[in-house]
Amino acid sequence: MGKKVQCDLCPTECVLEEYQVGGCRTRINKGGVLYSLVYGKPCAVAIDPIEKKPFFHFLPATRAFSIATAGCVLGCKFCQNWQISQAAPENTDTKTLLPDDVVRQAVFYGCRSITYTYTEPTVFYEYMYDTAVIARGRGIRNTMHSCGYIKERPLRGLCRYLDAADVDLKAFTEDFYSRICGGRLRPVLDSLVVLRAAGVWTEITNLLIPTLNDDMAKIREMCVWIVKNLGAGVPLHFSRFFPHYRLKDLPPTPVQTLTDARATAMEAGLQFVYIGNLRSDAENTPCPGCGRVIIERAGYEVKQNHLRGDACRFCGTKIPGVWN
Amino acid sequence: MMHDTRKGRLLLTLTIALMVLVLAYTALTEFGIADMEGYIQRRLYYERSISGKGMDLHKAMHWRESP
Repeated sequence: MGKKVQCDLCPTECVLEEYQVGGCRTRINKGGVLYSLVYGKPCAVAIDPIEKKPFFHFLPATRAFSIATAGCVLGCKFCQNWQISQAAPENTDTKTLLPDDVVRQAVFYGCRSITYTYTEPTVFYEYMYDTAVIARGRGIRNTMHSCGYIKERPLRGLCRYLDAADVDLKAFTEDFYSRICGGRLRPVLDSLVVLRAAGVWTEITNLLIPTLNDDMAKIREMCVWIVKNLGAGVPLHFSRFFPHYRLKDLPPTPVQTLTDARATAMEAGLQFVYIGNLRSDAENTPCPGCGRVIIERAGYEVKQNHLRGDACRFCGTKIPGVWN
Repeated sequence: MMHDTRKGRLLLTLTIALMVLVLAYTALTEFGIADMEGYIQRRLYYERSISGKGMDLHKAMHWRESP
């Protein structure tokens, strides 16, 4: 029997015996060497508006070539893509699409960016990394939607080619991460700090689940942490929960909870707080200087954009983001 | 009809044989049968469900040998 190996990609740090597959279902020890099972094997490929990721301060109204493989480093009971995130790659319909081809297709379809999304991109790190290197060389931006559950070293390596990240900050308690997701909060917070320090444009998504993470005191604590450690200009998206996967017994998030959370976040000092999975004025970007709407959205569509360069057209206030 | 001495010898032999078997089983369980069983299951799964389906392996980044 071969040697054991330890995966150093995510904080779970799986120690794998010969022929054992990691908790993410995508990495295997064969002959004392760790291999990825999902390189060049996406199970989801699509072209989406960048607003769907959601990125509201990154190349608005552009298209993102989006890819995912099977697998995840967490096991969230509310996962909205559990059919692929909680599946093994050998049990998933995949196609072969090597990094070169991903970039070529992104260029062909006029996408300004490639997004590594739907499942957790950490599980297809090598595939994402190689694609990102090629994309950077072709002038295509790289973005990911991630749970942020990745160790510092691989994240720093990726940051060299990553332009933006939307990180799911699922709650602000270790108890929630442990009971509902099978992970820990601390590494996610550390990842957010690393991303910000590395100059990667960062937005945060928080799915509000009734009774599990909708305590306003905790939401306030989370927002204060964001302002203090990442800055007031980091966009925060409160997303509406709908019953999924193993949390089908809970109702959708009440609209009042979402508006209360948004008010709490703005009181804590965050300048750009949005509500997702719900049509409302909270999809728009108001200027913190003059208060007028500078980007008006309806769902994933940008209706009006009043930015001139990176500033409000009406009052000249600079708006944080990557606008071109 | 067996003599009592013969019966005693037979009982002793069977007892010793049973003890040896129990000790051997314990030793093997302790030092490898469980590992071997797990290894065979994993190997079979790999051959049938991963390699058997033609899935490629790509050397991973960020790992190390474990002591």
